[in-house]
Amino acid sequence: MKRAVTETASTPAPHHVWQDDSAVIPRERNLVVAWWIAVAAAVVFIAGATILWPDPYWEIARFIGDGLVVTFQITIVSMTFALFLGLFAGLGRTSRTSWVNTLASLYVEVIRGIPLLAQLFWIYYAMSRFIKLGPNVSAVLGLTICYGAYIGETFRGGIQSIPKGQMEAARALGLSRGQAMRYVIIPQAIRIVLPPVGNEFIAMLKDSSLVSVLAIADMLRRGREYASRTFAYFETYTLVALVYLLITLIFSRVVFYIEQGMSRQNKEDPVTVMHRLASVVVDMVVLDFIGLIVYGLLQAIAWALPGLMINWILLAVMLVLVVVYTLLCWVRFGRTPGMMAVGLRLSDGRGAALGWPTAIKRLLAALLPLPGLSLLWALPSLGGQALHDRLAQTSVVRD
Amino acid sequence: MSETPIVQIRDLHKHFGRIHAVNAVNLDVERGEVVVVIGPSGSGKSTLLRCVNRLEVPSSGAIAIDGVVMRNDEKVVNKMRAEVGMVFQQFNLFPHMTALENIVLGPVVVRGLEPEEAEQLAHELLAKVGIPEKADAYPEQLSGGQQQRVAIARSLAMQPKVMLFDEPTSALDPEMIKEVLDVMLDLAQEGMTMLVVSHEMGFARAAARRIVFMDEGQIIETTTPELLFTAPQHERTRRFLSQILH
Repeated sequence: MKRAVTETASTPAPHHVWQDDSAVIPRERNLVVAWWIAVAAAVVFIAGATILWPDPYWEIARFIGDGLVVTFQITIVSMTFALFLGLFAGLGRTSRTSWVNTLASLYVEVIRGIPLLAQLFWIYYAMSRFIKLGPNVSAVLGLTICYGAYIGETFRGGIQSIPKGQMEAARALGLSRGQAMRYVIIPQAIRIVLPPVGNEFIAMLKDSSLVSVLAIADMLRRGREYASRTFAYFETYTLVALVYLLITLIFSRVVFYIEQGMSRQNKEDPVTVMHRLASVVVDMVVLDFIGLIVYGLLQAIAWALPGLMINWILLAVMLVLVVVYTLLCWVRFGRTPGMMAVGLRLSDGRGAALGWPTAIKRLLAALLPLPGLSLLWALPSLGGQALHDRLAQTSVVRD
Repeated sequence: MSETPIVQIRDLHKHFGRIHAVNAVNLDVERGEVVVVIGPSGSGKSTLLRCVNRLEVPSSGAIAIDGVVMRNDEKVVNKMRAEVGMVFQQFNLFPHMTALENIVLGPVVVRGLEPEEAEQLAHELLAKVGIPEKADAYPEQLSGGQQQRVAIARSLAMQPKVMLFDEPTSALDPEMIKEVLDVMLDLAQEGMTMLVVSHEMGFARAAARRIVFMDEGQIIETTTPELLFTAPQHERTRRFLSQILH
């Protein structure tokens, strides 16, 4: 619109070529180029510095390394809970029962109006008058409650963006409201909601740095400990910032492919290695959600049966889980959730499900051993230290 | 006819705020009958149709489907809706499902059919509406006409006692209208009971036993296709016809 006006008002110089109407939005290629530059810069600096000046940088990297694991663990635990809480909040806000609706809206309005840092302080310090919560519990609780509200709003938006006709068509077939939600509305809403939820995940990964004020040894906290001991503030915080940046860049790229995947469903766009990698990252996160539940169960069993070789059992269970997850998804749907998210299909053409023999052959041949990478995330906790110990670990200064 | 009519509408009113969308409507649809409702836009035809399967809850009055009077009871309403097929102007196919899955959903979830059985039925219905090869296509891969035919097949899969059509061809490109009307004509000839809101006079002439003309929420006259075109009773009907039959 705006362009049409300028064009008639002043004739563009002859050498000027209009590319398209959506000039307000930067072209996708520019975004991709910017992404590559940022990633390359981060990688070059991190790798270069640790190799060229191992004295502070390699030291710092080793020191903040286990903080990074804590950051991931807190994010994944909180995100899992926040997804459930958000689902209830979102469904609550679309509910027709007025008290449910009011309650859900109240929760969202109140929580969104308080900064996360203030919430964390309140839960950890203010609540201690009535009930004393450990720093790790407070951290997970704070992140969960805060992000549950945001994710709830995302879910509500997703559900409400489905055209009214969909519900009507489902009801006209005789489906109950619940059945219509389950078979018609929610499957469509998930596709819409996936990219924003991915962004919430990234946001939470960054915001988890706030829990360092509760004396939890996440990456930022570990950095602070190192810096205050050695006075290498510049080196430490530069490295910490770059590691956050690199992780965020990787995940934001994955979200970008998920967004793209939503619109590429039936198109024959070229599939690049990046698409496959993105799908693997999504599967890794999904597997870690599942792995987390398994881990919790194992902890409970280990508590009941002391002396159990829990770490090796966890390793075995995770390995089996990776294989079963991949196979089951391929056989049942012809692709894994990660592949669905970025719009990939195993079999060319339609999303036909594979038979067992084909699926096993594929797994062995093409093998995406990569979802197994998520094991690496589990590995630090295989080191003999239980998750809660690790989370509870506060400001431990090495040697 | 001695049997109870499939659809009985008695003194139906529907208000939207100050608008009186449906005003004291009485209408019966007999078994095997095709009734076409015409009228200017905003005359309440669609609202009337949507009241029949309770997508709109009437303000007052009564509707009975196959002798069962409707009330605000989720179970009764769901059961009734399974017996009443509805085809929408905007097709409203489920975009995340293939044509086949769209058709299979109702019978499996509501009627409890085995998936294999339902798929068999779906293939038959797709053949019946003339697009057997599109079973695995997603709605966005189909033309408007094909989508509407899948939507008709989806409704038929529930083996309804009566089919409601809410301006089924109004959202279609002109060259696709015929393929949808042909399917509807076949249905009418097979003896399906149909209540159709449409301005397709060709269809009305060929298939309708009765034509209902509505204006401002009221039924102005009920007549046969022959009489409508040769001798409309009311001045209002005449004016409307002169506007749509240019």
